[in-house]
Amino acid sequence: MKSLPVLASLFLFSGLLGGPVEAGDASSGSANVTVRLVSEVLSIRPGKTFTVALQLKMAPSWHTYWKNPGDSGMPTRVVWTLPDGFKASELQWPAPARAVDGDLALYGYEREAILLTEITPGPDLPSGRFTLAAKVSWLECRDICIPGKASLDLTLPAAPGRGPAAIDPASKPLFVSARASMPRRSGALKVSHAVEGDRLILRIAGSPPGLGSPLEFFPETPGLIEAAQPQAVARAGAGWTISMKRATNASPPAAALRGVLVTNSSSRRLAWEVSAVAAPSSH
Amino acid sequence: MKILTLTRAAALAALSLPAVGARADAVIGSPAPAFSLPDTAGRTHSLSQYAGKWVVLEWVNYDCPFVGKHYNSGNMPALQKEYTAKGVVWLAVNSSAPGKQGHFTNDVIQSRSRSYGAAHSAYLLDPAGTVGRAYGAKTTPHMYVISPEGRLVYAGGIDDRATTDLADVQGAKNYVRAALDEAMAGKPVTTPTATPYGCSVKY
Repeated sequence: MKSLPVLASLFLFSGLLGGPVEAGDASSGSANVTVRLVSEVLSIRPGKTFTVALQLKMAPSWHTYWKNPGDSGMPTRVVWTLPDGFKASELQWPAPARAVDGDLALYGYEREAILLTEITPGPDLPSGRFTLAAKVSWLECRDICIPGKASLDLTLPAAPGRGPAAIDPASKPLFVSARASMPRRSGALKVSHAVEGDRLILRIAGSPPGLGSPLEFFPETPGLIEAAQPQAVARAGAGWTISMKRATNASPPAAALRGVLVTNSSSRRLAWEVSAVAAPSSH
Repeated sequence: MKILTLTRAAALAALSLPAVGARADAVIGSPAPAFSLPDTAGRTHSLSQYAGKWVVLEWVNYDCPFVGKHYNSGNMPALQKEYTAKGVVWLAVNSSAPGKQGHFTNDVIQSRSRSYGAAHSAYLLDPAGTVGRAYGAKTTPHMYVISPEGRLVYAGGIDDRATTDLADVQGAKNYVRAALDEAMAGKPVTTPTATPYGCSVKY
């Protein structure tokens, strides 16, 4: 038909321009938490992974939780509904903070948490628009807790051709901030763990730049340590040891003890991903 | 020489004497910490008086959405009914401090319990948090199962679905049911501990 090539070229034109990212219900929330789904890219290409951010903004004094929430609470969860062939990674979490209240402590976030997910379209992408839908659930707490739920979605056009996806300049500051808050990986960091009586000991060798006192370890798995107890941090040659009180009825840690190490110095808060290997006990 | 024979109750008391205010540990396989608390009707309940019985301790806060999930779904009342009928002593424990969420007058507790169809043996009041701390109770709900010999056989979460959704009750693996069924049949408890989930206990 005569009109078809015209329509196709119009579409191609808008694809080249980047086209609008439609935010259907990309923003929602409750009285104390607003949530927003933001794409880093303006258009998507077959097989090319791109990043989306789930931004949670908490009212003062209200917090949401890390993947290990600590002694109570519930981590934020996302259930994705994606077009055929699309895959979503696990949530990537910013470095948590610990809040202690008497005998109990929580691991989570105040003010803002930006959780990232990598989405990979299938190798074949017909032209058109693709909707990513996220069912988000969280727990917002202050002195009391309120469960939160939101359904968010984003629609992105497929851009024809090869090459990197077009970054959305409007969302760039959000993604810069998100990545700055993420624990980093460092080949310079060598950590081992050992159980010594009722203590779980981390031995940290290799000092990536910025790693120093005060130092705190956040285990990924609940039920390993008493979250409210102080961690005893000591210099050990060029490295560090962190001694933590094991939780009552704790199982021995897995061979690879995963978590996040945070340096909370006055100038900067830095964090590293840790996968500590089991070391033979010194006893 | 006269040999003093301790009664089981006295032996339990002697084995599990924490210093006043000290934090004892509720360790699987060990004697459960002793306690003595009033209920909403003014009666006192001690662990020692239940020697010879299976005992369940259920940390509760009727305003916590995780507790609400188990009560609004009828899950907790059904468990309470089922196991008290089998002779289990099911004690709800409230460690909310005065002024904090979950702390109610006895009248309100009794009325809320009735409206939920709760079937606990008694609802114990621990506003000072002494017993909560002795057991290391972190969440509401937080569940403990104690054998007739006074040993802790289960401590932890009620099930494996750490959410506030009523729909998650069905299909969840209920650790308390499993521990009671196994232990009461003389079998080892497959899962003696699981991550407790819920709101924080409001000490």
